Amino acid sequence: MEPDGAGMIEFKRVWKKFGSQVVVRDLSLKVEDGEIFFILGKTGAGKTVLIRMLAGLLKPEQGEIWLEDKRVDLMTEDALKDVRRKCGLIFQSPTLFDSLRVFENIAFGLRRHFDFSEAEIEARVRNLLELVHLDPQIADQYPEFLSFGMQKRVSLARTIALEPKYLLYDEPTTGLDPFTARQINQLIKELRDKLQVTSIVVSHDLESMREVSDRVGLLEDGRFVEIAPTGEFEKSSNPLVRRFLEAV
Amino acid sequence: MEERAINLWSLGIFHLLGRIFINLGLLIEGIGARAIFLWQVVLKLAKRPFEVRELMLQLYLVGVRSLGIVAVSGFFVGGIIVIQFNYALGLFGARVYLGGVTTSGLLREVGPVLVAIMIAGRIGAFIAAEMGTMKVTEQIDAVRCLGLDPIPVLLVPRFLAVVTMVFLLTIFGLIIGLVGGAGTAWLLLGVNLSYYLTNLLKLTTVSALLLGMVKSFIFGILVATISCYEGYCASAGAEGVGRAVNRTLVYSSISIFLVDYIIAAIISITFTLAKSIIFTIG
Repeated sequence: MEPDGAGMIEFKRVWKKFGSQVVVRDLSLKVEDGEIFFILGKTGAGKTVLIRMLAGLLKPEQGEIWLEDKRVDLMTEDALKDVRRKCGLIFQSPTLFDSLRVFENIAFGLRRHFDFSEAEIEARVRNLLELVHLDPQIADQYPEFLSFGMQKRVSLARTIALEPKYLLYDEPTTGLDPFTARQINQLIKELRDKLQVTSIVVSHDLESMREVSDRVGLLEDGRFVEIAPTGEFEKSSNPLVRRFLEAV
Repeated sequence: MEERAINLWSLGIFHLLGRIFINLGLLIEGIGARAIFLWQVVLKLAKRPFEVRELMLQLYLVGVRSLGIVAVSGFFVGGIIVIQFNYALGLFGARVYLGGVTTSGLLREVGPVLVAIMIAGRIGAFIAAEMGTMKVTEQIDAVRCLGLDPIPVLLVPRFLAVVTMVFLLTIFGLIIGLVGGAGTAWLLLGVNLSYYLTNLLKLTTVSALLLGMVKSFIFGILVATISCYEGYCASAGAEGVGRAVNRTLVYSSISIFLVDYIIAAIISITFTLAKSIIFTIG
């Protein structure tokens, strides 16, 4: 059965456990086209597991995961390649290939998915670096010589090089100073507007939530206890939401 | 009291047998996992697009950067074999065979084993550490998330580079070993060089050379499979990477010696059987 309604990403009654520990229980979610959906929750609530299942890195025990008209949870590793091109995952740590320069990191996917000439690849890498507000001069540097914030932006550039329709951010502002975190938040919004992408952001950063999100879901003990537009979410009378907002 | 001691003893036996069976099962499982991994790599050898740039880089890293260490060790091993055989053959008045015997030993056994062990230590450990670090820092997952399969992108070039270079470096190491042996025989032991070389050509067979080449090819596959597998399957952070490197060295060395032993045994048995058949028919 295909997803009902206009949801481009849909989780239907999904369960996931590691050993005997259930991390996602009977979870359902629909993310609308073009929105920035923010998943809040404390550490271990199952936020990262959720986006990893969507990218096909983990399989659920039960339930269905839909991306457009395709069921991700039933796909083979080969079929998932297309899903992953469409659905860019930006990891919590930058995961840059440390033996390659910034240029080769960003060109990594370009070289393998497109038939671009070297000049075209150079131009694209330059554009991508500008898009994430980095000086194209850093293309010749190795990742280890960049700050953590710059590495995260290079990682973002590498992901958007493949022109994904969906971006999944795993804790994008964790480990960053408030100034750099604000730059990343700005970038998430800019990319949505410029590239028309649908985004899911996983974090426990309330400042980030206020700046970027259209809708918010609070994940507690493997299921959503509240899903609401950002303004309404902050005013929610749900005791679990109140407790989370006050604790953070 | 005595009955209790017997019970404990029999329990100990069962415990020991149980442990032996469990470890045997784990050994078979481990060999099976590596065989399946090798099969997955082989299936993707011809997969497009070919990672030509990465393959060239790996050939350089594995091959060119190992030339020095293979040359130095090949030279000295060639020399050491000549010194040892010179003494042993001298006891039987057979120093005349020095060139042939040492070269045959070098081609059949010492050369392929030595080069494969050197590559396992130098390159196998490096590949295990590199892949292991990529695994535990999620770089391999990042490759997947770029819509790519890590096996053809990362592992196939390393696998091909190790197999090719163990083969080529064995040839190179053998040549240097022959030079080292001849040089030692001539300069240190005072053996007539033309005599040494004449005997070398007389006693060294094409089959010895072919056997050495076949062995180096098999050893290359072993080192490449073990190092890629251990790195790719590393887990549990820095400790896991350390374990992957350690396993690569231990498993590569053991498997090289084991396979070398099996090949030697098969050849010996085949040779004996063939001889007895010829004798019976004759």
